[in-house]
Amino acid sequence: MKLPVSWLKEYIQVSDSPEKLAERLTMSGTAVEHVHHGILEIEVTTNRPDCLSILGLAREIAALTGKKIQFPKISKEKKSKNKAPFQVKIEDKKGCAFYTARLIQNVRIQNSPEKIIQNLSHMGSRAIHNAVDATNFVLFEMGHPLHAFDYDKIAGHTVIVRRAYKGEKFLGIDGIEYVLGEETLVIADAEKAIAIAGVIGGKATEVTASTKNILLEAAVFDQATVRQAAKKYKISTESSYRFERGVNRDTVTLASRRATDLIVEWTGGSEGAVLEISKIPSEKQKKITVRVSQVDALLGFKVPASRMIQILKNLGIPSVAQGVGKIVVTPPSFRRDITQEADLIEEILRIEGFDKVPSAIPITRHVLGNYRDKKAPAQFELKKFLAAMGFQEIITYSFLSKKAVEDSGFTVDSKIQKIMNPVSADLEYFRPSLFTGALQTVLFNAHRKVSSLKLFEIGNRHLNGKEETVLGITLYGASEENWQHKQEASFYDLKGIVENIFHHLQIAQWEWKNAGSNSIFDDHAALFVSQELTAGIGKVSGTILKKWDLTKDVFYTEIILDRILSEDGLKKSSRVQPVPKFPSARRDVAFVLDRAVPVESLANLMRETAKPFVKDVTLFDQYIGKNIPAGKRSLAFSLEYQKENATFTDEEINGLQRRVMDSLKERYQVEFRS
Amino acid sequence: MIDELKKLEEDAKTEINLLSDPKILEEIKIKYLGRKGFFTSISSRISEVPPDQRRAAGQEINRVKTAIESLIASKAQSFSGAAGARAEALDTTMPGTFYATGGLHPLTRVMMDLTQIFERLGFSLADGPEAETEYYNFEALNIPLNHPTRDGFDTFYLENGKLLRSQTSTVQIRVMEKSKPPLKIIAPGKVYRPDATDATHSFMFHQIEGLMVDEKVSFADLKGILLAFAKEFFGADTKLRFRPHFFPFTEPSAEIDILHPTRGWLEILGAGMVHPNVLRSVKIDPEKYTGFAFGMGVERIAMLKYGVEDIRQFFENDIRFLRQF
Repeated sequence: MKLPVSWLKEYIQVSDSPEKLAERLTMSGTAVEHVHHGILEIEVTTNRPDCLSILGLAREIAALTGKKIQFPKISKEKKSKNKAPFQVKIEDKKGCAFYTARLIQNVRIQNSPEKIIQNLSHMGSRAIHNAVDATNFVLFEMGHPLHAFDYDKIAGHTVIVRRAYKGEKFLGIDGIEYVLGEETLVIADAEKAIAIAGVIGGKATEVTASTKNILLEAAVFDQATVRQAAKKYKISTESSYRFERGVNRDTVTLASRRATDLIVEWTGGSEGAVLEISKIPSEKQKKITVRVSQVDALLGFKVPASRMIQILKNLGIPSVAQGVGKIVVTPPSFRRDITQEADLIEEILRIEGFDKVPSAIPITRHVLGNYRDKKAPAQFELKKFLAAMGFQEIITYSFLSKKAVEDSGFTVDSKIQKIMNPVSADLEYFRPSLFTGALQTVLFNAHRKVSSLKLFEIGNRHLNGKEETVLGITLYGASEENWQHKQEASFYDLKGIVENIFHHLQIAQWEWKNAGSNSIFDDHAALFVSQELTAGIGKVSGTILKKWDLTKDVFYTEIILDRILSEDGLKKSSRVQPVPKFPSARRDVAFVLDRAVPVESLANLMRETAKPFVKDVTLFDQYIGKNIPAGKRSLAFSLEYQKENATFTDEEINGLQRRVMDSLKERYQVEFRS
Repeated sequence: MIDELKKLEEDAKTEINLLSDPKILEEIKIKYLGRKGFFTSISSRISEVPPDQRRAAGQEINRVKTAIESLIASKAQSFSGAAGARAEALDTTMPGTFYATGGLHPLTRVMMDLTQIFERLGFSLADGPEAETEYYNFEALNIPLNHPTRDGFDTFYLENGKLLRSQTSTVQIRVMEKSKPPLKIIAPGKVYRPDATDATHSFMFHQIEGLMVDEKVSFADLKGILLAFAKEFFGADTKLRFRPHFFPFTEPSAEIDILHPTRGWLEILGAGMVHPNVLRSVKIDPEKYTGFAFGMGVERIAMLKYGVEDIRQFFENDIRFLRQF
């Protein structure tokens, strides 16, 4: 909304410079975005349709300066004895609560007075001719949208307010033909729609240079109905903008009279009959009691009751003191946004000024409710842990294109959530996994000559109708690469990272299962926590790497954090275990055996055999190759023996070690190496 | 005398072993073996030794002298050896090879910094889902259906009928449904709005929502909390400006600007007293309890703090950008 200070001055005395005025308005809630050549550009919030007019804004200025507003002189309604030669029918009272139509005869259409043309141009509105300019002038002056029809072009001299027929065609004054839907409210004559109510007039009844008689419409249309139509046909007009936000029902007739005066004056026409139809009576707003103590309590400082009344009165809100500490307020018809005490407290505060509010630090009372979120703090902790382990956090978009989803091994079907109103086709699906974002990040950086990456992201995915918070970890290229060491990343690197995380989170038990290949991985493992699938982990398939044009291996895992953080995400404070008092003893064992035997089975057997003295079994080497028969491998383990209350003798240790070796030989037919 | 010589030997040994500066070695040599040194002063007293012990004393004098000389010589050699070419000499300019640490995304860093400040002020972390219902995103927050107020909160809709939250205020409702006052929460999270993407707008961004509800909470408390936060985050001489504004879920509402040294007042926060209708919708009596809520855009604050010019850089994940934080 533009506010030309020159126009404003016709109604109220302004002594501030435009810049100073802008500052005062901004600091009292009427945000001025910029000032240009004495015109203030104002962002009127949606709760204040009353500020969408020069007079409305004059009211704000009156409240700030205490100056009085000079309202324009509007002639009184003359009782016409003649019966109106036209009819108005409202068929849809929900859409149109109130409608007035006035006939103005023998008009001469020509240019408006120069000053009016200038006023309109300051508002960013092009002058058309004196009749239309009069309606636009009143729209800006009083905030009431009006419409002038060429009376002689209204078929049957009948105005009907109704919903459009399905597929009804309508040619707007913008020259565009609209095919209307049944929910659209139109103004029609005996034959056809001649306007989309509150949005745009029609070509067929447009007032032109040859127009002789005018029918002037002033009405109240339903906010939501106008909004739907404006949205549906993508037409935003000064009229629809105001109807959507709500016009003041009580001053519609006044606006009609004001426009009539101007049209009569500028066109030399004469006033004819008027029809006024009220389908829903104007609603009186309920009185509101403001408790002075409540104002003070909510704002945190004292405002004298007399000052409160003064502020409200200056805003045009009738208020009177009642007894001790109470003010009774009658919200005026132009302030439909005021419905309760809090609304008035806001009015008092914004005029009194936020600067008057002291600042205090509130006490924190002990929290009774158990709303403490366990997941959110745990996520931050986990992120810090991963960063310390050498991983860089990334944040990728939650929306993906169909191709990107498919190229990451997913099938676009009902398991994946489509976005119904995407901003572009590239962003059509909610991610079913953080994997795609990881690949996009790897590709982006690989194109910039980055040869290895360790990445993680924590975010939400949408899969199988469930939103879940997951952790995605990506290894690309070497896990270590410097002049001393070079090591390509492997499945075992990623497995180690996942187990580190689990140790960090103090998860007691989990299970790895070989899960073979699928659409994402060439070969992968499934991780189960409490018998529930919690992560897949493996080497990304060659097919996918090829699609993304990546030349180095990518290892990826995605852990469902909701499974492991939901109930008790934060680190528990654990009780300390006593440190052993007696030294432990170490013995190594190396052997060749069938490759298919899992390391875990061997370790379990060793533990079992020398129970309870084996404290730890660690694999320290695997060898496959020269001197090892095909299908076999050589493994080397280190065993740590520990006794709780004594030191081992050599004999004891050797005995245990022999038992371990015997059982390995017996169970798995291993051949020992020395 | 023999005892004195032995002690002299011991002292010299100790002193030479502890020596690390080659320049001082010469001084020590003079101190012990010089013409007026300790050794001369002891050995010159040989005449005081009874004749039958002189032979032994003479031998001891020679032995100790040789010993001290050799100690000094070997120390001198060790000094020249260190300066010379040794087989395992370090090239301290070669790059260190221990694993590099990773890093947090700048948005996470800002969210952590911000939430930690509020946690110190007694707020607890909270979270909610991204896919929400009309009720949590609009209705319970006093945002009317089919009203221009909704334009500021345009949303993406999913096929399943849910929508993606357009503000983290949804968490307010979820928390207040579950727990009754006193409440103090801080909720960081992702939000989505179908905005055209440019250098300062993104269809996906992050917000931090704060909420306090208790008896007798006032606008002064809101001001105090936000001032405490701003001073801690942006610096002790930070200036804030509260401007009246309209939000459907708070009343009175304000937008808060921070004074930027070159760019003037910049909006960083929206805040206000929780609207009585919002409290009513979660069955909290607005006569007994009042509260305040605030919300801020994380990207905007991160851009201000780190001098990032384009919001899209946060989601591009260029490792050369991310490693700077």
